Amino acid sequence: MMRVALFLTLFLGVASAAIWTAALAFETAQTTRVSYKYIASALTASPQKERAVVWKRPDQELVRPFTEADAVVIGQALQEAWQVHAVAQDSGNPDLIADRFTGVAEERAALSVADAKAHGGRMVVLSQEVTPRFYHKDGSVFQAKVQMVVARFVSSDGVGLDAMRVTKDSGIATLLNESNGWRLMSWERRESEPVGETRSTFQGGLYGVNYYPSKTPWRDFWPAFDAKEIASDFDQIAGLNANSVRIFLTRDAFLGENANDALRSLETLLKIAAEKNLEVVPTLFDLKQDFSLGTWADDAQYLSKVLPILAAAPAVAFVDLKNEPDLDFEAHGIAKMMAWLQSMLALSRDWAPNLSMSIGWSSAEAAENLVSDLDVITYHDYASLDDTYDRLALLSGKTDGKPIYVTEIGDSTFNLGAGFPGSEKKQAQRLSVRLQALSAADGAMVWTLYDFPSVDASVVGGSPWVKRLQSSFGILRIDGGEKPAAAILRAEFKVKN
Amino acid sequence: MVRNLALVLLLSTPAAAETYISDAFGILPEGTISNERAAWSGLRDGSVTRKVQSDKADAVLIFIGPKALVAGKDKGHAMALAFDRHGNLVQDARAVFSLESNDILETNVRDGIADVLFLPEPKADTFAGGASIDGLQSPRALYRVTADLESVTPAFKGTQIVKSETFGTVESVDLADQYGNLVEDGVGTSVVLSHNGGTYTLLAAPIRESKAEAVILGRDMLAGGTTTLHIGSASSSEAFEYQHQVASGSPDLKVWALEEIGAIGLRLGPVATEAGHLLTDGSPVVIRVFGDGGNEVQSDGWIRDGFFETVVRRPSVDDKLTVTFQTALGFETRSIEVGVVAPDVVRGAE
Repeated sequence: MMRVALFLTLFLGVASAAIWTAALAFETAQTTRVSYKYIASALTASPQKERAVVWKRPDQELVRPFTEADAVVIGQALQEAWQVHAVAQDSGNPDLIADRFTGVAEERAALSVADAKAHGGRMVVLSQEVTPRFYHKDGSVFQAKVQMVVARFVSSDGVGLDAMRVTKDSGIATLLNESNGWRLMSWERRESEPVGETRSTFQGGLYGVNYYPSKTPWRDFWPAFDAKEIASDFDQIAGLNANSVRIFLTRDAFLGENANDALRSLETLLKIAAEKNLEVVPTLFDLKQDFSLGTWADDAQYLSKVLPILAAAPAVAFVDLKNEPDLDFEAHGIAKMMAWLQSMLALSRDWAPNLSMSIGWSSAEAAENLVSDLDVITYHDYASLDDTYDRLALLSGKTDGKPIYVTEIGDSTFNLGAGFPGSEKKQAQRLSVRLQALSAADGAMVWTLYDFPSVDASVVGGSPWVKRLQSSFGILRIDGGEKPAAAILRAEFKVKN
Repeated sequence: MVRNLALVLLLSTPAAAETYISDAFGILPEGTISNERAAWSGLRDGSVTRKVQSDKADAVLIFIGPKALVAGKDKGHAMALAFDRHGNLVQDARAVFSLESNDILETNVRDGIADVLFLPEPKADTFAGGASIDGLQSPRALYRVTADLESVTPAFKGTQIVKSETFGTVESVDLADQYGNLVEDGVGTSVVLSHNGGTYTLLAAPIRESKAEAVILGRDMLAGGTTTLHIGSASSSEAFEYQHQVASGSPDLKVWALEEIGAIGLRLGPVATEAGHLLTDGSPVVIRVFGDGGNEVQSDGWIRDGFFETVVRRPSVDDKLTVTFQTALGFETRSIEVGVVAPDVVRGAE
């Protein structure tokens, strides 16, 4: 008997190692490396060109009528000028400047690129509001008062931020209509004031789940939005004695030609949540992969669309600006990521001052970042069970008394055999221990409501092992049947409520 | 791990903002700003917040347009764009515009721009203009005043005469607008001939030396009619005569046998007008040959070098055949002997 057990154990160990090795090899085989010859090719194309320039009525009569076509063409020139400027500063290559700048502005932009390369400064125009004030009768010269929200930051080493400012600047922009399009000839800043200094507060216990429908997680969620399914699933969530749900607003779904559909779906979802007495924690910018400076203006567009809806919805508890941005530090640079986070926070404060803001850090250690910029502190805890309480306690001492929510905890029930690497029983046990250890937190949310029959490889990677693990974190099985962890949740949440 | 190290480094807030300067094009350490950049006008934030003002004008650009102004109707827009020696937009200055078509015009400069609308004197010509700011002169810019075509009254130079088989010109009087400006070369007009038979001929008549001219070949017209000149929405009509030319007698007709192929050759000509001119090349000819028993053959062609020549199937073996021919100069019927030998010179075309 002992020999049989030993043989089985050995066999399972060898088999697991073989599968793991094969999975690694498979993942490596799927990895591709791409290099670009031109900077413009390396930029992520917007799903659809967003019109990031908002036009106001002229404050005086213009000699030449300003048409809708002019607004599109000149607006595009203004938008692209500053995108090119940001890309040039980031790359240190001024060659792109001549595409969108001319005359005095071209010289100044080129000098600013040289200074940026030498000293690490960056400037990104996030949004522009333009009021025409002069338009030559023959369409050759245009001048406008421009109010723009601008992020400026300095990082001399790419890691720390030596300076960070988000301001609302106003000034005068003059453009020339040259043989191959409009170019910015002069830009002079006249006024500037800081943005995003308001703060909001949120308090209250939140005990709930992270949510995707079983068959349409991640990128499929918004295109395949089904209100009936959402309502039924929210009933399931409420049936677990949960009072909250965390959802994910994929970046690309809310930009481009289908954005209006996604926005309507979002409104519907928030209404359903309110009807079911569920508070919602919306997580923004999900699955954003490119943080290059040329994409930030589109990100501002995204905020301008979703924030009004979130601000108007009573069901929204607080907003989670980004899911686990610390995991992007290595790929995109810490300074750039932190500058992006603070820029988006500032915009959110300015456009939706009543919304409480948080960031969904991947660990308690990461949650020590930007405490003073946030209203609510949130993190995810998949780390060692034993130190759960200690991590929370350590963080609590550093967050100025702000509420702390652990918005992702969970375990996979993927079982290769003999309870390895997980099982439904283990999941229930670990969940119970974790929730007990986090009882001092202001709330906890479980990843995730359902198991998934198929998992998006672009989200979790191509490894079959990882995909199987990620498919099985649900409290409910694919068919809606409850795992033992559901009963644990129900009991724990009942106590909290 | 990089992540943990970064977390430690990021715990503190960024260094005091006072050590960095932000301006219209970015942010950089205060001590590193160049003299050139420090002179950019506008708001500069650093340890001290400053609004840098512009200097006096050092460069003045001039823009005048639209480039073609209709006399008495279109206003021109003259604009000066002024920068100081650092490239800053000039503020608080006075601009003086000198335009050859107008008196001196003055206005204030705001954010680098001074502009005036002007109605030029209604004289069609090319003019130059410029501006002066702070005593600094801009380069010249040119602009044109063009005739007011809508006020042009079209008119022909009397009755138009078109002769058959002759190139003729349908022309107008010198065309001018209400201010006396002659219409420029190249302006498009059109002439329509309405023939008495109910048909129409459309001709393009671009302006040349102030006249609308159209060249026409008198052909395939039965009679005269009316000719109408259109300029824009205005038009004017005049009669036109179609003059048929008269032949200088009956043209020679030769017919010879081509026994091997059962055919005959015919040559008509020279076909000339009474003025002694050969009919123009291309003038149409129709010849019909009649034989016994009602047999007939027809040949269509045109004149070349005054002659028409063709080969047709011999309609009968008779030595004498009846031939009819139609030219621009008239119609004839001949009874002619079929010769044995072809004439020396072969001309004409079929």
